[in-house]
Amino acid sequence: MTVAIQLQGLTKHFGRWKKRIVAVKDADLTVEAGQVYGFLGPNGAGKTTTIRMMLDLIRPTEGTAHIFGKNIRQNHEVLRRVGALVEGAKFYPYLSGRKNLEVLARTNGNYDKQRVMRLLEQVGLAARANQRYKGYSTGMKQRLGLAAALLHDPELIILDEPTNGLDPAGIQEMRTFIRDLVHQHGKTVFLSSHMLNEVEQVCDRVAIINKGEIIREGAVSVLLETQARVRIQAQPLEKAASLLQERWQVSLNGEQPHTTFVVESAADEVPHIVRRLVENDIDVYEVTSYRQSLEAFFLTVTHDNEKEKTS
Amino acid sequence: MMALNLFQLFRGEWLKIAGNRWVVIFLIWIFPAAMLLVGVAAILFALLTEDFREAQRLTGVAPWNESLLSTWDIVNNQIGRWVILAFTANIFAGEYTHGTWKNLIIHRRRVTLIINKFVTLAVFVTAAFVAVSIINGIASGILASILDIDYGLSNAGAVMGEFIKDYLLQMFITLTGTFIVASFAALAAMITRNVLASVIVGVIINMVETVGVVFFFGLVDWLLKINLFELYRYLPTYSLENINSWIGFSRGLDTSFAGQEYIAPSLEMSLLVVVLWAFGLVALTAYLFQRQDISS
Repeated sequence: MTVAIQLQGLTKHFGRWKKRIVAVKDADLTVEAGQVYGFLGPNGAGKTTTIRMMLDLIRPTEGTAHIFGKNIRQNHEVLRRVGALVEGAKFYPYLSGRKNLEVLARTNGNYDKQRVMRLLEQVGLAARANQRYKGYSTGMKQRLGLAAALLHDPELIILDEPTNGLDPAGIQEMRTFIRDLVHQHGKTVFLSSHMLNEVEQVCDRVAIINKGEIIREGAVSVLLETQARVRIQAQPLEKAASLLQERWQVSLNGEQPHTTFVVESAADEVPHIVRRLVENDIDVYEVTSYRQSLEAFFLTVTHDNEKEKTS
Repeated sequence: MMALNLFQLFRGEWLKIAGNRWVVIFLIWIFPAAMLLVGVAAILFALLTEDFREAQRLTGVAPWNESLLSTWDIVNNQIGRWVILAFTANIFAGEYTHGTWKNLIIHRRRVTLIINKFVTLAVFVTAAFVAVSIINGIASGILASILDIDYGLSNAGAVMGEFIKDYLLQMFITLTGTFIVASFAALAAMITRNVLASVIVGVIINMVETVGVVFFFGLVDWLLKINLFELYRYLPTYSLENINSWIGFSRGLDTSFAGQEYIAPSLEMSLLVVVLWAFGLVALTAYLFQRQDISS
């Protein structure tokens, strides 16, 4: 197993004394090569600061970031294996999209005219390649940013909010593009986003960061499975709910009179639930097992985390 | 391979700077353009008006070697310095303003990027002032021939060796001075992260170095009775002026302060001083940039 990214106790403070802000605290993370890894968090959670530390743009206050096993502060060259789009694409406004890519490729020391044109075609900018960057729409700028990230054919691609400014079709294209990068070209993608739907659809694993701390990490399917729910329609409803409350967390659905209730439980516990209800003379009309969306999961864990902190 | 790689890096920086057309036109190509304008105007006046020809015959036309050399110190006068400050501010602070440092830093060492910027800046300045020098040389030659004045070309072969040495020395001094002034702007760009603000701060640093320090020495002398003026002779501006004095008049720039006379350092000493300043300031710029968080 190749480890693409490893963060150990990564911490960043901004400011000093009373004005000190802890932007990222003790971030530990391991991303294996060959997967799409989601990095989720609300605005201001510390996602971009973490990424900037991973790319040696800002110095960590404490901790280390390793890319492909090498400490980036001691082996800056390892970042040549990384392509990144950080916090929105930024280029020279007075140069065309093509010239901007040429400047970057030459700075990297690997200019290839054909590759530049191919990439511009791939991201749908070939027709506007010679137009000045300052005339580009937000979506076009993001596309150029993606082309820049892929310019030197990197093994690891770090994308920070890549779908910002894209229209729905563009978002869909971007998702397909990211999946292709991993499944067809064997790349590793680290995708930071607050668009939960996007992360749920493309990522294999995910880490959730809130107020600078990584609060959950794991495979998307496993994380959501732990938060699975069962909706039950039974009579008498109140009796059924109170019976199950002894073992599971139960909440009544909708306004009164209630017709269903929800049990927080994994799907494999459904037979136990049903058996218990039937044994207690409760008529069961419908049992629906469903998985929480990543959005609901995210809101639950960030909310719980905030509650823990305030208490 | 390494050389090719560095050339690509240089070419990237060149494309980037040259692409910012108005900045390059107004802050670099304006020098040869202005010289061309002045040269053409002088030739036209000489062709069209007898009064101008008479006046010019009285003042004379400098020989070819002096004409080619005389334009190099434009960079080291105050106006030239401010133009270089503005140009450097655009090169360095532009990366902050456009938010483009993050694209470059990932794949290149910061020190390499900073040095590449200074080198590219030096190439632009050299190209512009070689052009200024050639235009002045040609225009003066044409003017001399219209006025029927000896332009000194007949003994060009005899003085060529000496001329090449002087020319290279003048280029070296100009570039060293450029590096010093450019470092002021680069440091200002790093602090302010804005083009206009870095021009202003750069000009302030430049003024402190030229006038402010003398004022400070005067204040220290007046309040504490400690004479620090000896140190002034090791500052960049004085050293550059002292070098010009040695080259132009074969004597140093002696000064006096608070009733005391100060003998100018030798040419070699002042050359060493400016080289150390240039290296020191470029190294300081690179060091500070190495430690800076790029958060935009």
